[in-house]
Amino acid sequence: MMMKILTAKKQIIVALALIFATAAQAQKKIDSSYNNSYYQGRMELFNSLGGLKKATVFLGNSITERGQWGELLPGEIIMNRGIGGDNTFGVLARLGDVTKYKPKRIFLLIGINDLGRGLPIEVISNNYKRIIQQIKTESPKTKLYVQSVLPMNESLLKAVYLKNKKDSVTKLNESIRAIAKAEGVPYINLHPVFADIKGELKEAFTQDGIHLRPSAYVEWVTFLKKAKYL
Amino acid sequence: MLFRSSLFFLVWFFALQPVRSQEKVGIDSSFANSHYRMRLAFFRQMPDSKKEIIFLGNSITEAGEWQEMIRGKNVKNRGISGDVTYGVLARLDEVLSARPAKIFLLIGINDMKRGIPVDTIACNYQRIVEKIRATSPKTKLYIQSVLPVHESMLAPSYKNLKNDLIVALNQRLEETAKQVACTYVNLHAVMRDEAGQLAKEYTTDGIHLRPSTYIRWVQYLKDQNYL
Repeated sequence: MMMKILTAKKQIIVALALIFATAAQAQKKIDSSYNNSYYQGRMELFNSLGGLKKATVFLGNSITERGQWGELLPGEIIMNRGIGGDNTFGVLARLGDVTKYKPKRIFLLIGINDLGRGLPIEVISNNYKRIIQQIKTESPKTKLYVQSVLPMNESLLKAVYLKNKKDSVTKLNESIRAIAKAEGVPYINLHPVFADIKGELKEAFTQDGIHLRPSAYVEWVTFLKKAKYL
Repeated sequence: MLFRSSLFFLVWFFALQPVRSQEKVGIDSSFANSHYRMRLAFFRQMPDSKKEIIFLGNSITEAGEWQEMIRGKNVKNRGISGDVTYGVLARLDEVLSARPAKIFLLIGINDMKRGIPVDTIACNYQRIVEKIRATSPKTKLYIQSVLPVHESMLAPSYKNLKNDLIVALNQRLEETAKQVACTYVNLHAVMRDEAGQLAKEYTTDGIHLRPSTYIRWVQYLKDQNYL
């Protein structure tokens, strides 16, 4: 009898422990880290550079960082605020350093690294909402352009954690589009420029399935100009 | 376009023959890898403009946000990660077609990484300088010393990089600068510590620079009135 009661008690304890463990795991899955040494290095540079008025800011991750925006847009005051590996948490954390210069425009492109770590769409979307609202509050005259997360090319991708994310990219973009609409800011669908018929990142534009060849940036800027965003 | 660039490489292939024949077998003079080709294709898409200030080199140059650091000037980043003296020679036409106002050149460490002798690197350097002088004589050329490395921080793939070899190469570059009456920029002295190593606080891996180190670099160029 005693044994049975103990077992029953144990079972309850085990069950409770399991519930807590699952909750803890769910908590653990939200990896909100961003402040790695690369991020810190770029931030050191940005702090030293400061900023200028009337700037056009390209804000995002490695895809933004690798753009030769200054050369692609002669005559514009460009601030490249891309940080390789960055995610929505990292952007939120440094957003004040961008808005304090009251830029003319911000082109935002972020979220693929969030998807890469398996963050839920709701979490990323919520961060997007916070990013947009903070920009609107801190620099109301800034023209903010929310750009769609780019497609990837499944057959060229080597990184396992980026595989099979096509549906997530689509869902995230639907969510970003809705948030942009609700917040009254323009949403730029870049897929007509970058996606092939199958919805994959065009092979001619990429080598590793996610990053862009330098010449793809020329097409990107041409598109932004044609659509009168620049 | 494709035809033009293949023709271009072909021409350079033959142009480089005399250099090759002097070299020992086993010198790796290759340069046209996929990153090189992608970057060069982009450079060729960009129009020539007036009063260009060119930063020409390898990954150390490519990683610099030169336009943001040097505001109000027509600055162009012509760094290609992994590039060597052979690669720079082969793409000089792209740089020189605009007859740039200034070129800041920093190349050679990847040659050394491959085990290419200092003498060969210095000879290639001489060819680069002569070509710039001949094609665009009004361009102000700044020969920047190869930067020191921090030997104990280097990954095994960089085992050929030695600071005494870098110093020897820099002596040759300084001589070349004197011969052709262009400016030798002693960045080595700016970046090294007391032991002659790349100062630890300037680098991430013993060879590449932390982003903020570029601020110091540009400040030095400004202090010397090169910019």
